[in-house]
Amino acid sequence: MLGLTKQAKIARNKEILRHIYEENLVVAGKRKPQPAAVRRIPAPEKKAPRVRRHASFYFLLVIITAAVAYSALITFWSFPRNEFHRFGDNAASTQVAQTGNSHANVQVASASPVSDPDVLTMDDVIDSVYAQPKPSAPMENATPETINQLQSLVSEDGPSLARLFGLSVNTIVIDPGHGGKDPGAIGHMGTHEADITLEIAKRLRDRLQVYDNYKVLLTRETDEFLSLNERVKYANDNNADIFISIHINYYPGDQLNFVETYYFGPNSDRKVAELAAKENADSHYLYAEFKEMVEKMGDTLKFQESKELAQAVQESLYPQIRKVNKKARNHGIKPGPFVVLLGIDAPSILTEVTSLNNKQEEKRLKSPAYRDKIAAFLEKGIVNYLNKTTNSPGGERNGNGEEKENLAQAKDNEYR
Amino acid sequence: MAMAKKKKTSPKRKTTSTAKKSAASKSSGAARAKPASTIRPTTNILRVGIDLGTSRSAVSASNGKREWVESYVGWPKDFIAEKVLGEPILFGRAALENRLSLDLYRPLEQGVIKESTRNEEAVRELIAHLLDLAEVRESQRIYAVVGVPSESLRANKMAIKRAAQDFVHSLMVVSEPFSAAYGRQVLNNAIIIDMGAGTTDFCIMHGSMPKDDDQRTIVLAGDYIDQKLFSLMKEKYPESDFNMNMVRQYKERFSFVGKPKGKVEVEIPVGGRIMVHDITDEMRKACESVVPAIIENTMELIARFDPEYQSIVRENILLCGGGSQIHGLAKVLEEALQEDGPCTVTVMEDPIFAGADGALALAQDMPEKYWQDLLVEE
Repeated sequence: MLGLTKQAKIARNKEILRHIYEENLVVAGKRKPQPAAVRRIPAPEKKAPRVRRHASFYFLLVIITAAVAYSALITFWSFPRNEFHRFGDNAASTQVAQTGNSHANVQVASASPVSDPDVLTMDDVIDSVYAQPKPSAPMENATPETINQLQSLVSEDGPSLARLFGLSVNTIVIDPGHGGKDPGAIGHMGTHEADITLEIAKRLRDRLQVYDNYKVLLTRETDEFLSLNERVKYANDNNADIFISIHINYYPGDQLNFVETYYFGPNSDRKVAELAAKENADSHYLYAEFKEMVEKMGDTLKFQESKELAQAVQESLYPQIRKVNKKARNHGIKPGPFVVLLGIDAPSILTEVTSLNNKQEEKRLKSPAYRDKIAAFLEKGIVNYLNKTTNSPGGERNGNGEEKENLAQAKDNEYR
Repeated sequence: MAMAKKKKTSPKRKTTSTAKKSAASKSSGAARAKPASTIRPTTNILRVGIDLGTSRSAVSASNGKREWVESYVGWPKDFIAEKVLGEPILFGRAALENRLSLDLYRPLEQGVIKESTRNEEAVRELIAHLLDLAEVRESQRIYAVVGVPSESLRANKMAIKRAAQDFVHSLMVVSEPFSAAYGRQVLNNAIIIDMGAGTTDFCIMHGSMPKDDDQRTIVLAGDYIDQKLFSLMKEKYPESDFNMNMVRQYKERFSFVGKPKGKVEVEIPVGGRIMVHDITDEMRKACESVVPAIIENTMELIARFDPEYQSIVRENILLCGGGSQIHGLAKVLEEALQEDGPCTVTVMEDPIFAGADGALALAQDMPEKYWQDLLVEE
């Protein structure tokens, strides 16, 4: 037993390696391959959505959502009681198993039932959705699955309002940052941010137009100066459904390379405020107009959607940039008070796709192929966002789904 | 002074060099530039073994690079801090030393990734940093095996995959005690005890891939000793001014069980004056607090083997991980286990790199086809 032959050891090691491989196939969510299996690239589940989204519609949506949440809760209360007891007991048992604390059961058993649900206010209802399920709640008999489903209706982590109502996108406005008398950041070798953002934007437009369903517009087609309020007006006049402003970072030194994406929303971070001040310099807005825009920040739908769009773009962009430039750092997504994000009625993001101060990156940015790659990364992020939107219950889907899936498959291959 | 120095050379470089210096001084002489397996002469593929630990993380690469870093990740608290530090992120000792200017994260706790976006981000950055230390060339494809605490493998598989997949082309995740066993080819009739900071993992090796039943995890490990030592010191010296970070450093320098090599004396401020404190008894008590649980679990695992092979297993107990560096631990365990028959407990050579070396050995032995099947989707 101790003295295995060399062949036996090799066979044992092979078996161990195979086991690890198979375990990792499961972790990777891939099927156990047949002996001659070829890697299969999974196609995106759904393709391009199309339902219009109007700014004037948002307020109505919030009202409807509140009504849905309320009626869901009323339904929730009407579930039979013993189901919830079962859930409560399970939760308590889990706690005992983890902590070894037998008091957990006692706490659950001693909880008291609640009063008449009829006297509850809307606040109570919302609170009860956000709170952990309590044995004392009137919806004692809901199953854990039901509780999760209902909670997701109104929780931040649940589906967004847009998905809840199956909204989608028709017009995409791309904003190449800076231009004309405002070259933006200038690299060590003299590369202008405005030139790069324009070319990336054009390439992104060409890529998105292949999907047919979208009207894709650029705020500027040439090296011209546009004030920020002109950009905002352009997007709003054209009923933009999503707005993507493309920028390139610039930090002191020639090594740093940060990839980050901002979305519509308040932010007290000093660094973001400084960057916003810089990017807002040419806004040409009056104080009153600006104040009105800030008040729009309460817009839940726009906030949710902007964040999701930013997340999708950043998740596509950063890993790819990182593969090319090992020094690239992920500054993630964050809300920022940029004028272009505030003023536009639609979900909007401002993405700093890479950093021009990084000399290697500046060299790469001179190559059309690299600019096209960045456009492809942005495209992937936007498409992922759009697919997410349509994956909802009630989300609309294009008629020629199969054809679109093929296109998405081909696109997916291209990103690799 | 420290800040003035940092302006001359970037803290990131300092992190690397600190890690190098520490590795040279703390691990054995053979620690540097000694890959676990034969370096493959090819190619544009870099195979990498990573040991992602609660306290320390290490990397061994097929280009011969071996580095470790303390598992701390810190982001400057604000723009001013970033300007002063000159880096957007710091790792390891450099992060710890500048912790007042940083949002500091130690992303693993009790063997699992703490649940928050920022902790997951910290794991991502840590992996990226380890790959930087491995000096990956830009054109190289990276095939990585990441060894993680057993508990993390159970609880955080997807999080680890997400954290690593941005930086590698193909990826596998394995349990850390197993990777250590594979690296040393101790795959049959053996027990591996991997004592880290968050957990002590036990793994039975019986000639095949260990299953869940063959692995066991307890949370009595380095962090537990730190807390115990802190409490004991606070009890003895209530007026003295020390923190958990200082206690951790004392443990790393002076930990022992059984007979001490000498008095353990440390300098701690009391009301602003530096005073020498004798913490010999406290250190022993804290370190010995984990011993009974280790003995109990080891005996239970021995009993799981076929009786015919139990005497062989008893001669084949290996200690690895940072905890194996507690002076006298192997001897105390051996003596305790010898009460039931002959027994040998051995500390693995170069324990800090045992996991990473093992992961690299796996990465190198893994057939190309397997890597191809596990390519990370971009």
